[in-house]
Amino acid sequence: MAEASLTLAAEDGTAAPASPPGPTRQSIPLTGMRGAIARGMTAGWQIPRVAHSLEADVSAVEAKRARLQAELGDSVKLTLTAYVLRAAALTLRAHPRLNARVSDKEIELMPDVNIGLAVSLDDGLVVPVLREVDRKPVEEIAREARTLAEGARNGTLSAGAYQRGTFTISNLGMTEVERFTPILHAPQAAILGVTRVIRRAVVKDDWISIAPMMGLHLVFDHRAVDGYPAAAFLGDLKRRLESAEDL
Amino acid sequence: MTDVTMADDVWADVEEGTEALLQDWQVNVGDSVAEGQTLVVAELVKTTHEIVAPVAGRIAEILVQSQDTFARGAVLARIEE
Repeated sequence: MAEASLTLAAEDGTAAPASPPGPTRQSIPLTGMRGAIARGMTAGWQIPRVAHSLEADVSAVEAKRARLQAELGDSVKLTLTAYVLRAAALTLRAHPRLNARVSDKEIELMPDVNIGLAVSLDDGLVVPVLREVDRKPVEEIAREARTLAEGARNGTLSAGAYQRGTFTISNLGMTEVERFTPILHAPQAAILGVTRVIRRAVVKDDWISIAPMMGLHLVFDHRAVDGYPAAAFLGDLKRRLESAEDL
Repeated sequence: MTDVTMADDVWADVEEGTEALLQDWQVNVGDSVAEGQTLVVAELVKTTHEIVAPVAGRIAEILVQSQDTFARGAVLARIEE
């Protein structure tokens, strides 16, 4: 109603009463980085996908990280993300179907484990790629992840730094989110969402104890991987993190 | 005539078959341009690159239109000196 009377007033030729400028409609064009994000998400959303979630006890990883960090001092900041990257890379070697690129015609099992790490920017999201993660110690992964994230934020990475990924990790661990299903990064067969570590009451050997639990959320392309083998991958990743074996 | 292309080093480590996307041209056919003037911006994967006039002159031809994609080495426009 208010709009109609305003229009009438304008048609009458009477001046509209002066009013303070209110909020105006804002248009953010889907070009540049937002355009690239829009295209990528739309492509990823077309894929027939399934999501699996579980929690992993990261006490052993936390202990290992604290020990190594004390040894290394300030030369590098070891992050839990670096441990998840290494654990995922080692687990992917045993589950090549999840380290794959999928097209209409084939599932290409990739020889290297190159993991894209989603980096959020002021207004956007980019995914630079860490190369051959399964062959690198955790401190090197931590250092590289930091360098890549900084390069992505400064816009100094080359175009190729965003390519040749075989798997992606999206970490929301710094937020309060406890569960999410990331969109696949086409043509990759799988993506892992990571959520924050929460101290929870868990049952261990018939006792209730408190453990730091991290959320792991796998989304996979069901054309390439079936539900059971994807669950086996996620279970192996959980066991790898909980034992901290080779991390 | 001088070809306007995207600098080849930008494509150095890019996967084969990758195409760049051209944003909107900031000039039209017939416009005079100065050397080094930005003509258009292109996106390659998640990076953006300004395409500048290699020489001063007049835009004679635009070969890749706004919002079209193009491959390595493509001639985007021609400048008549």
